[in-house]
Amino acid sequence: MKASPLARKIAAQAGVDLRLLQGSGPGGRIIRRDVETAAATPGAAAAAVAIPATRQPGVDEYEDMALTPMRAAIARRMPLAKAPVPHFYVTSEVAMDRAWQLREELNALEGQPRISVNDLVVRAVALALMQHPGVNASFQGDAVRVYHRAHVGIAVALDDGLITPVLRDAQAKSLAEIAVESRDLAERARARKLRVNELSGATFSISNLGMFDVTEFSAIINPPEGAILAVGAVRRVPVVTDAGVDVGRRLLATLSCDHRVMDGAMGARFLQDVKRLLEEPLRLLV
Amino acid sequence: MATQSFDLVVVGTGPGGYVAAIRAAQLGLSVATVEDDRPGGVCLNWGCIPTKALLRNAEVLHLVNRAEDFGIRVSGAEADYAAAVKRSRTVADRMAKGVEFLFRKNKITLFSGRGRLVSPTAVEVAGATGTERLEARAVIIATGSTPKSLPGVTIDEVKVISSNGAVRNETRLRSIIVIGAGAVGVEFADVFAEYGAEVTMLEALPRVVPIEDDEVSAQLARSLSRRKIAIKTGVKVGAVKPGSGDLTAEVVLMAVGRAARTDGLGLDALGVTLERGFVKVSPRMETSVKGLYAIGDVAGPPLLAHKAMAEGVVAAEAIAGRDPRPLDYLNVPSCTYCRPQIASIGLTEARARQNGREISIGKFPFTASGKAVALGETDGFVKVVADKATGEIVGVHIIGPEATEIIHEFAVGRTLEATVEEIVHTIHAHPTLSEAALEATLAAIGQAIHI
Ligand SMILES: Cc1cc2nc3c(=O)[nH]c(=O)nc-3n(C[C@H](O)[C@H](O)[C@H](O)COP(=O)(O)OP(=O)(O)OC[C@H]3O[C@@H](n4cnc5c(N)ncnc54)[C@H](O)[C@@H]3O)c2cc1C
Repeated sequence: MKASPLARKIAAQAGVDLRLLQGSGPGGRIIRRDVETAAATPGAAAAAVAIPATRQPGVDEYEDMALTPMRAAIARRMPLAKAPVPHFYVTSEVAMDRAWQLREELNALEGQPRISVNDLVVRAVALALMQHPGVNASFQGDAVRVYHRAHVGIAVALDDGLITPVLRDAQAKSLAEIAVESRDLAERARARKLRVNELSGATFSISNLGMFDVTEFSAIINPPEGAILAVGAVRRVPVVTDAGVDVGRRLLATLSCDHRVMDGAMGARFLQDVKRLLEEPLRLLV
Repeated sequence: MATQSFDLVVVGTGPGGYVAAIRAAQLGLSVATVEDDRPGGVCLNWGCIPTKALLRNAEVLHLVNRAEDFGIRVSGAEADYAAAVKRSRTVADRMAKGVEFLFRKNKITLFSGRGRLVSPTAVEVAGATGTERLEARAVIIATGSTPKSLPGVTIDEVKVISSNGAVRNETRLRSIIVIGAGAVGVEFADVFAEYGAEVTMLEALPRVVPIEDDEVSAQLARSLSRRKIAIKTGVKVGAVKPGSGDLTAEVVLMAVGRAARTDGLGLDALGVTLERGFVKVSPRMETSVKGLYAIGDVAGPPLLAHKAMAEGVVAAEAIAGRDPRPLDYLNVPSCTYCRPQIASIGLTEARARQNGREISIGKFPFTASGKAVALGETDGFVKVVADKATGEIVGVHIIGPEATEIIHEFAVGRTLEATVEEIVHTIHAHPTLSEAALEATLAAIGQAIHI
């Protein structure tokens, strides 16, 4: 496969699989424009899939909705993310009682930004990634690229799809900074006001469906990232203690891992650390 | 009136026209060209080539004047300006003859006279011996450009001259005011100053060579000031008249830009769309009228000979039914041949930032280049603007010795979509001026060795 150096770099960062592209450069060479078109404007792909809606109300039992550009992009990207990347999953239950309490205390402070459960998770993940660089990594064909900084993609649900803006250098940001920045990213994501560079370059992603009362789920990795954490709701459940049965707050988190990058134990150890950080949440403050 | 038929008629034989004609002939088309001046156009006769010859004279004189620096004592040196102009004419004639030779070699018929389009596929040539009608499948307009003036200022080519007068002038000037500090103004200022004229350069914009990177403008202003060229930027010229004024000089050179040459071509009648006075063209160089093409200066900026030639190839190949690769106008090097030379490609730092790109800058001064020090030409630097995330070579700005030769490494790099990585992994011979290109690129990724 012939591709220019710049095309290769952009493809690696945007998660575009060069093998699936048709090069428009001399001799079929894949050039920057081909990759950017594939990554940014799914128009061509959308046109091929979109079916004009020819509907007779009351007669047809179904209707074909034309794909929005976002739906088309997701439709095009997901098989590339799921099929070629060998996924495996590890799930862990996290006791959120102390984190919950800490969050309430923090949110009672005047003049501080509101902290969400997801902000706590982002912070815990960023700190754990620094301890487990093998998870903050990407499969590059002939090498595994290990990142020194944690750029965390945060999936934001939209009415017609989802988008994953990137919180850069999360490892260097306090809870308050994470809270402010991720709220801004999410708001601009909903307003479709994100810049292109805010949508690429993540080294790890988090998808949180807790607000929809989802207990647990598993997510599809966003190549070229090596893993993604799927976060469920914090639920009040009966927990067995030495004294009997009590009520506790629990959260289920499932890590999807690219088996080419890491093995089960590595993913499990990372998840264990995320769990510990959330269960001893003062660690998130230091 | 005699009528002759060809596959292609090209009006104008500057670098755009003659290259288009030759490429079309190579592809098997029968080609006629029409020229009302000399083959080779402005570039070979009155522009690029004769000015480069004059600038070479200025450079030789500069070396003679500073021969002491090299321990060489020269006495009785005399600079004969008329001889310099004569030499530049000889050079221009030789190159123009070369075009005639290439026409013969490629069996291209040259018609002398003024061409006018009577239809999108027919040109009437009013020559010395009568009028001829040329018919063709396709016509290329390659009529170039002419100097502009300021409102109310008439160019008489005696006291108020354009580049046309400047390149022909044979007397050594005592003083000259150059209006406009773009490439043409700066190059003539260089020549006249070296030959002893008192030169004042006026520029309406806040800096000299205003299309170049800010830092290049600042360096050029320093270098020219050191050569006693007076520079006044951000000034508006009110009027130019005989007698006294705020500034006086023997001659005023108008170098405020050029306008497309479309007068008397009959474009209006054909309904050819213009845009800001230039002929509007598609990426295949076709005008709004099917079968009618335009290339070079007449088809809009940048007004550069190499851009005209590249467009000539595109037009010829499109007409011959090929699928030419359109020009990437961001990848046209821009060069000014004054001392120190200037060359650039891609975006300036300011433009790249305006576009919201995260960039890194690498700069390497020629004072740190062994070759430049050995040459005794250390003014200037190489500046690389790179994309932080991808390493894309976003722009390169060079001012210094042989800048116009060094730039092509980056032109090739950009064409191949190389990144800073490929440049820094390219071994550059030592000692060369091109090492500064390597070092500036290394600096852009924080790895410069020699600074
Ligand atoms: C002083 C000076 C220095 C320059 N230096 C450089 C340089 O160093 N590098 C660079 O890249 N560019 C330089 N340029 C710019 C360069 O000369 C032009 O970009 C280039 O000549 C444009 O080529 P062209 O083929 O479009 O037209 P031109 O070279 O202008 O040629 C057009 C020809 O068409 C003829 N013509 C016009 N109308 C008709 C008609 N109706 N019938 C018949 N013939 C007609 C004209 O007489 C002329 O010969 C310089 C320009 C000037 C003035």
